[in-house]
Amino acid sequence: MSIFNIRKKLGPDAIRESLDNLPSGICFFDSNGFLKLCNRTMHKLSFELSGHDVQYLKEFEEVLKSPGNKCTRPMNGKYYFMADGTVWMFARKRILGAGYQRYTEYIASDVSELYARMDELGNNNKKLLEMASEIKKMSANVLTIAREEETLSMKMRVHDEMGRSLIAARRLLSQGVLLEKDNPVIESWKSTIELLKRGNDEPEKKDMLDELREACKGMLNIRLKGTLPEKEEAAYLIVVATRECVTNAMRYANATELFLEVTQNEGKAIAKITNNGTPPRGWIVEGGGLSSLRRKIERAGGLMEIRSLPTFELTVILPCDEWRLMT
Amino acid sequence: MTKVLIVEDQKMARDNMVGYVEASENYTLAGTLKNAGSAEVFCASHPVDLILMDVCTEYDESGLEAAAVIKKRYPSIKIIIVTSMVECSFLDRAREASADSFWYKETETEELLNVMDRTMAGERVYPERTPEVKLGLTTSYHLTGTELLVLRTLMESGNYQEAADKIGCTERNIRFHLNNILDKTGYRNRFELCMAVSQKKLIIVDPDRELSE
Repeated sequence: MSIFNIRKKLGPDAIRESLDNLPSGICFFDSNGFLKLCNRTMHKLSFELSGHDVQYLKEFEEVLKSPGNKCTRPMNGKYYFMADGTVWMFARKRILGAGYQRYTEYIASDVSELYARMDELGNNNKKLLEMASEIKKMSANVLTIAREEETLSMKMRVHDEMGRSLIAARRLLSQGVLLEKDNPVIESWKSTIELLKRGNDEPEKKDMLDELREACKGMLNIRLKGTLPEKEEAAYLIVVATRECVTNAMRYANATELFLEVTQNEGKAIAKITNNGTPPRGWIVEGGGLSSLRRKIERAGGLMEIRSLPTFELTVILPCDEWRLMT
Repeated sequence: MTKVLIVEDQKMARDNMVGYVEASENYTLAGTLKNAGSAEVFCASHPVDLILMDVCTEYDESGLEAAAVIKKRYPSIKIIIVTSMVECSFLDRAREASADSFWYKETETEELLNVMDRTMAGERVYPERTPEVKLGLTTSYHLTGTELLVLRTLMESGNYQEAADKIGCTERNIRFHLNNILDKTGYRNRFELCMAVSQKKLIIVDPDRELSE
């Protein structure tokens, strides 16, 4: 087809018709702001936004800024929610026409499907975050569950072992076999009974501080003034701080006594730790142990302070209520 | 006589190991602890030749971290890491901590004494691999090291971008590996996968731990 024929066939009506058939809305305003060309879709949209025919650029832009009752534009965002349930976006462009005439082009795109998908994606992401949080919680419980499963497995093994020993002993006795001291059946019974007996003989439950005291028994004595807080996390961290000080006091200060003073005041526990060893010669630089301790304390919302001179003192302040000391 | 310290917070498991030590002619019990963090202090105050160190002790204190510190300060003390968990990183982490040997509790108990004897004789006794764990249509043996690392990081981070930042790759890489794992296991999505991995203790999330490849 020649260009002459194409030009003949593509007249103004053809252009108008093709514009009107576009799913998007399109309109053009000249340099004076007058509406020059508007397709059917844009005409319908602008009527819905304003309630009347829009002929001027300024009016059109005012309407886009503050659409009428038939449209909502949440938080002055880029999406326009029409009464028929569709969602639209508007884009402006400055163009240069024939003869260097300047025009303002507006294109309206139907983003209903895209918006619905984004909304769905947003909801899915929210669900994913909730599920991720559940997995984290579950992972935190896995260790507890694993320990309990281990104990259960041990008990089942002991139970099975006793059962096997009983059956074996009964069979041997029914055959008239004398069970000697070093008979494997007797040995098995003995070890199982020892295990059960040990379980019953366990002395009164030791807490972590007691265990620490026993661990350094003979080398260093821990003297406690006050009581550990009831809040488990705070009590645990105070003992961890004490343990770190015990290690350092034995290694660097040749201390034989460590003093732990705990006071509680206004929802916080304050622990001061000193020792009777050689004072530090200079400022203490926090190594791996003290840095790790500081991280634990700060993560729990507490504060840690080290005094090097004239004598070493570690102070730890921990919240015992729900609020935290650090922001 | 070899002096043995047992670090184990589960009473029955602890009593069982105590039983084997006390029944043996070669070993004597130096002490027992529930908390791995106190082990270093114990070694500073008491003669210890061998430690049976649980991985996860009271207050979630890590036996692996304690082992690393003790091996640095007291290299002559032998340490056998003991665990019932099949967490895939424990073997490597035990090696990194310079633990002398590693023992899975679920194996026959007589083997513990054999492992102790061999360790004291200077041998490093490690299982070849972590026990195989069934994961959907496949097993843990069919996941690559990178896939396990990606899975662990996703479980610790909760989202793709954070996981990518932690590992030092792109979000696209993370999704690529995750899709491969989902194809292998047959799980429908990452959450089914993570739930299964958690329940089987193949990966135990420890958000405090620094990642290593």
